Amino acid sequence: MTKYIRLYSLLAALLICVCAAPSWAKVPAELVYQTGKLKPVDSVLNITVGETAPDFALPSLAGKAVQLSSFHGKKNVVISFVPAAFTPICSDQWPGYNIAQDLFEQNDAILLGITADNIPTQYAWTRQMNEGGVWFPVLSDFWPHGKVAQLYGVLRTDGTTERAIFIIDKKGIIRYIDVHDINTRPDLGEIIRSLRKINK
Amino acid sequence: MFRYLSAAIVTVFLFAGAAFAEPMQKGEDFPDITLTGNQTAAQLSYLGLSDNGPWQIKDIDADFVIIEIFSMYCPHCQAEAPSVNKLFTALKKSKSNARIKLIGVGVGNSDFEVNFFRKKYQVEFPLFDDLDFEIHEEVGKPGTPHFFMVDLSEENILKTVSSFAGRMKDPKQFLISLQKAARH
Repeated sequence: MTKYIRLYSLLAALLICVCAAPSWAKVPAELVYQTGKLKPVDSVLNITVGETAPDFALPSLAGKAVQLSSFHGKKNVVISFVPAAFTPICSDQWPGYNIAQDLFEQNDAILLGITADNIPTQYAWTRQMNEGGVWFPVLSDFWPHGKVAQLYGVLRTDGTTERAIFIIDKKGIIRYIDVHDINTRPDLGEIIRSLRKINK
Repeated sequence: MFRYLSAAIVTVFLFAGAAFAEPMQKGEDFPDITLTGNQTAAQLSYLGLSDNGPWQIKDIDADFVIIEIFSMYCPHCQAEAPSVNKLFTALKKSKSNARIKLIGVGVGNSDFEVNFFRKKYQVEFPLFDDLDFEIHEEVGKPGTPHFFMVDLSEENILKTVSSFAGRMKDPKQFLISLQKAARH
């Protein structure tokens, strides 16, 4: 009996190896999600610099809804939309912002991270970035899907959001917009320089 | 049963690994990369460099250079930063200090981002920037962090003597393994 178990195990191992080896196994192209190089920007902005930022309230990882207008008169707000959890560039954009808490605070700013993922996905993702999660509120624009992204004009046709930065001053006025090429990451320095300019 | 299944799983990973891009490996010629970024006088002196750059890796006054490929945005590099600082301290205290130098290259990072990382983690060894991923491309697109050790002792050729992916377990042991590689 043990002999058969060993034989079947070896056959199973061989089969798995054949399937796993990329040079041997032919996986049908339609079964593999190929993004290729994504269209840099795939939406049309609904707002411009100088306008009042559209208000919204979204559920956060912390369990409470966060309303944009609650920061009026208190903090500058940096909104960072990123396309999706567990994707390469997004996964190393927020960890950079996570170690830069002092830079945001020195400039009297709060960062709000938004994706169109659901809360459990965001929870798992932010724990992967940092064991204790991230210091800034992460908001879920999952349901109704992409409603806030649509409001700002950064909802892509595939249901993800643009990689976009909006900086809103304490009066609620939009002072900076960067709808970034989705394939690259915005420079943290640019965000901090813009905040310093607002605070002058 | 478990033994055979374990063997199967390990084999799967070995085969599956072939699908990923390969960074420069031990024994391969290493490109003479161009280094840019602000350095203090002490950091320039450590590497035996002058002026404001850019510099070539061959300009470094040493027999070997350890290059950490990192990114300010990479959570593993952030977690690894204290260990790399310990590696630098251990290297400075060792007899190999004059022969083996340590530098970091922030791939996809601007000067601002590299300086921020330097300040955040109190990094004393020289860090260079690679905003357009040019160095990253030249060295075979490694993940971050990745450590190369390059032999600079030959006149016209740079040789990769060590290529290590991921986080080190222990800085002192890691240094010993690099020193061993330098002797061969």
